[in-house]
Amino acid sequence: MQVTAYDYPTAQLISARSEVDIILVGDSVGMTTLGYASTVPVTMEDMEHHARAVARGAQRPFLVGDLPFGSYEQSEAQAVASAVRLLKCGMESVKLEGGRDMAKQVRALDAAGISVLGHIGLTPQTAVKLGGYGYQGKTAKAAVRLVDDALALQEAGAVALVVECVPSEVAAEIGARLRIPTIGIGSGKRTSGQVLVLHDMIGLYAHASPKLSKRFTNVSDAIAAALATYTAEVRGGAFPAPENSCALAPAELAAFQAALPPRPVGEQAPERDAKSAPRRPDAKRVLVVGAGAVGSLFAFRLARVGHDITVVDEWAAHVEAVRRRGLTLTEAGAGAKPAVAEHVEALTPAEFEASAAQRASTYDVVIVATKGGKTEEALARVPSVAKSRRPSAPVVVAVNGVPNREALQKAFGGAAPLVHAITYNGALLSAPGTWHSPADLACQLTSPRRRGVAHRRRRDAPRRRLGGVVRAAERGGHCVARMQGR
Amino acid sequence: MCALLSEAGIASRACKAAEAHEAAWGKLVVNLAINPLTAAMGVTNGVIAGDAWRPAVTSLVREALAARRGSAPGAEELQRHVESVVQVARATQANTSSMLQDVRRGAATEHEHLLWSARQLDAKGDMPLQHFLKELVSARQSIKV
Repeated sequence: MQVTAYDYPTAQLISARSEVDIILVGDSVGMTTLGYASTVPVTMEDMEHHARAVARGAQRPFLVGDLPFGSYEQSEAQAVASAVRLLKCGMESVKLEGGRDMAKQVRALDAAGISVLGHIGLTPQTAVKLGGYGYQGKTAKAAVRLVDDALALQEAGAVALVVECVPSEVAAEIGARLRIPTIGIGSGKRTSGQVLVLHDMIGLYAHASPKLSKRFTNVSDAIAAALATYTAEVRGGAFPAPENSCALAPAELAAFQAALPPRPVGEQAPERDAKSAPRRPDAKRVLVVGAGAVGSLFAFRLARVGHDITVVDEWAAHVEAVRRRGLTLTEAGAGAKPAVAEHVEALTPAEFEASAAQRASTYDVVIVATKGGKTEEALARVPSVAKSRRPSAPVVVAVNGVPNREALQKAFGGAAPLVHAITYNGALLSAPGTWHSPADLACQLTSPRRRGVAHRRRRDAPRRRLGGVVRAAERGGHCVARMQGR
Repeated sequence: MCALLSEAGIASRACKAAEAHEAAWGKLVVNLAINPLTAAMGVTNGVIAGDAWRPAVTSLVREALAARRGSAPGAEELQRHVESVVQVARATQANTSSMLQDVRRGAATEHEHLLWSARQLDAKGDMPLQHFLKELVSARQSIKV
């Protein structure tokens, strides 16, 4: 068996962890690794660069280097000179494309003591002349010519023959008539051996021919999944973790800060208004599903008093804006400046799911603030939301109308304490990530907790006749109740 | 939970299920009046707090309360809920209601969910005015502006 390799790690893998006999440092490197449209642009310098890397990684397999297009066709002397260059890079043999026309080059290489493989059938370096990357030898006349080419190469001294894209009967006939082994690709099973391009068989090259090759695995998916986790973890703060970092000793840190002049104006962090609170030691981790008006307002206010907030919303532009600039809210009142909430992590549902493993049993509170009819749909996009909740964490549902109990129980399990929040608050979206709090409600929102208590006193009875709703609206407050069976 | 929210400036208090049911109805009546009216007419919340809109608001509130009880509401109850709608509309006067925002975005509105919610809260009767408003809002969504 034979596969291609172009670099140190794959050569090492093939050498140490497979039973592959031969590594071909193929000129396919041009397409699979260098991004060329064909193998024609590949140079001797390209081949030498990759041959050296493979030779450093491969201990066991026999190493064959491809002579690239233009490095051997002109003369025997050119072929020998090019082959010597590849041998100097650690190759043990070379391969060149062509039939009877190349026999004299093969003979010269053999005479120079260089082991050489031939390559007939579809010869990609001259595919244009052949009329494309199709099967060769499909007529009796063409098939006979292939047999003749094979015999000529054997006679010239080739040690083996790659037979590419030839009907299986023709490949079998060639094999039967040769003393040297045949190595097939796209030529059926009746050849002495097989060769494949590694990047095709592991799903790392998007344009692989399905006819010629087979995708035995798909490492592209594994790479993409790893990249998604990486980006989500960096954005979410899970990576780098303390074990991935080096902290300065406290005394050194103090000395370091003391030794530096103050940062020049303009490079400092954006100005925060006075109400901004640092992350507190007893910060709750709150997950907000749905970052519309209500979800964003809750997230903003909780973050502003130092809690750790994660918002999940499918509106990617909003999520990106919050990520880049923070969650911004302009309070009511003339001259109010936009305030930015810190400690807000914004994720799309896909990003949340990609980092699900790090979020298991994390959140102290989950707030569901989706559109009323969309609760089930939104929760279905984040199936790990139930596991991300700490066992006793309440699920606060702030939706217009009545929460969809079935959807919530399906998402969080029947035992999760559901809390229905009836709120009159909201905010106006002015741009992704940026909200305005409506004038009258905002000042009422600042009303102290004491007023909430006062409402429960007897002397408040005349007002109570207005009903809880009006009272709540008056102070821009909320009525929160544990959801019970209807 | 209430302490967490209240400390963050979202004044909250816990209440029993019966009160929550009442509160949910009150909020629903407000939503059923403000949201479809502003969405159908394309106006901010503050507009419908005006006197000219009181009859329309009253009709919607009356229908919702009648649907809840299965019979016409008393004058005092009707008055109380109409006042509630007007107060909320006034308090959020600069706001574009969520339903109007949806109409402008071409997104599905919450109207069906609100009507579903009424049934969940044991509404006994139908609400033809709401259905008409739903049709009106839907027709308005077809207008390219």
